[in-house]
Amino acid sequence: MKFFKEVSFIFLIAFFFAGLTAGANLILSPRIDLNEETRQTEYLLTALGIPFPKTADALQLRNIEENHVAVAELNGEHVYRAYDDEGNPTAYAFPIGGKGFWGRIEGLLALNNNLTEIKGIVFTKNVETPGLGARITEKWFQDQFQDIKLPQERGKENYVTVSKKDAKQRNRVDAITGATMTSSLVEKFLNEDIQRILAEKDEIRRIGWQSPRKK
Amino acid sequence: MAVSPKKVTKEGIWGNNPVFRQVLGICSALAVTNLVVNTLVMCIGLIYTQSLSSITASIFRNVTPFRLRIISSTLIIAAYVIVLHNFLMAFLPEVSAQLGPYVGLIITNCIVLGRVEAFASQNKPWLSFLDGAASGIGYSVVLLTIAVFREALGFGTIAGFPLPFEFTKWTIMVVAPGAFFMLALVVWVSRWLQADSEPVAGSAKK
Repeated sequence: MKFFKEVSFIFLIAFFFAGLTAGANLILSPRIDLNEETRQTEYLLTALGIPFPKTADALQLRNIEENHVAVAELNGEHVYRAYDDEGNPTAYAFPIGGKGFWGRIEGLLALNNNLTEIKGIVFTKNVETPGLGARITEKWFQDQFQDIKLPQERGKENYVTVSKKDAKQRNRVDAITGATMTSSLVEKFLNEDIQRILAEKDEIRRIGWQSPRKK
Repeated sequence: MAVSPKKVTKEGIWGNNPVFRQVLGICSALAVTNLVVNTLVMCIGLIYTQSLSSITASIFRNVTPFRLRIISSTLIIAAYVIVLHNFLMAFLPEVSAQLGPYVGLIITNCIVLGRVEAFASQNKPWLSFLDGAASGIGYSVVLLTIAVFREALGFGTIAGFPLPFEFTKWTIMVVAPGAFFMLALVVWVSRWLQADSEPVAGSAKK
């Protein structure tokens, strides 16, 4: 009898609180999904250098994306193509990512039409230390990568170096003070990813893009 | 145990402060205190979770089978935290992204289960609510104190506003070791201020 009472008690409260969380989830999940979608669109537009108003809501952003971005698949990953208002292609964007200090870092790398220059970079996912490694998501850090010219023959050198301020490497961006590990790990996977992308140059050029609606 | 609302409040915030007297909730005191704004959201989250979990556990206290206390308390706490987590993701997505796993980890915050078990399971609902809120505020006072110093020394800002003078930032304040030093200092200072009421070793009253 006691056993029966205990089991039914647990069932009852489990049922009640599961209902509470399920209810909250049901009410809030459309909004959460929308936030997530908005964030992803913002990342993509930022990487591709497509301007959008800061106050744009989800619908406006989706509109801008539909008019300026085409998506295709390359080796099972999404790659993106940006178009200007006249419908001329302006940039590519590729997913990048690798090991960070605490966990995986993911991002998008945008290259120009000839795949010779970085147009932009955004880090979309990371679990680095807030205030240190996580500063890779700050604008000043990401902006440094813009307009870096990629040497076509890499040799032993890096495409991009993330190091301290006064070092004299070519294609250097400032590392983050106090986040040496994150900085050098970003450098590592970024260079590997650039090499991988440039190796697929021909395939990328062969992609048949479904160009977005022209204005 | 006769307790007045005033005493409950005072004990939670100062006399029996969860962080520097009971030494609970240290994990989050170390993890989220390098930026004031994040800390503030975390504190509000904890006050909310603690007070509602306490009142709920207290309402159910007479029907909860004795040996199922912990499992049902955990269930209650987890439910409130999940609601809070969803709420933050829906309305404060940026803060939620920065706090990362720490909101979810309120479930395992020792203060919450500790107060539910030690107080709410034996006291009336609204007194438990008060105890929960006071403990939450006590936790917040300590965390915010630590956060203000860590952000000021580590970043040269307070809640994002720059300090009016320049100095070399202390990177150690941004990472966990800085929090250990700050926490130790807070415990030291508060215990020193409390020295009058400190029972002499060996003569502690039961």
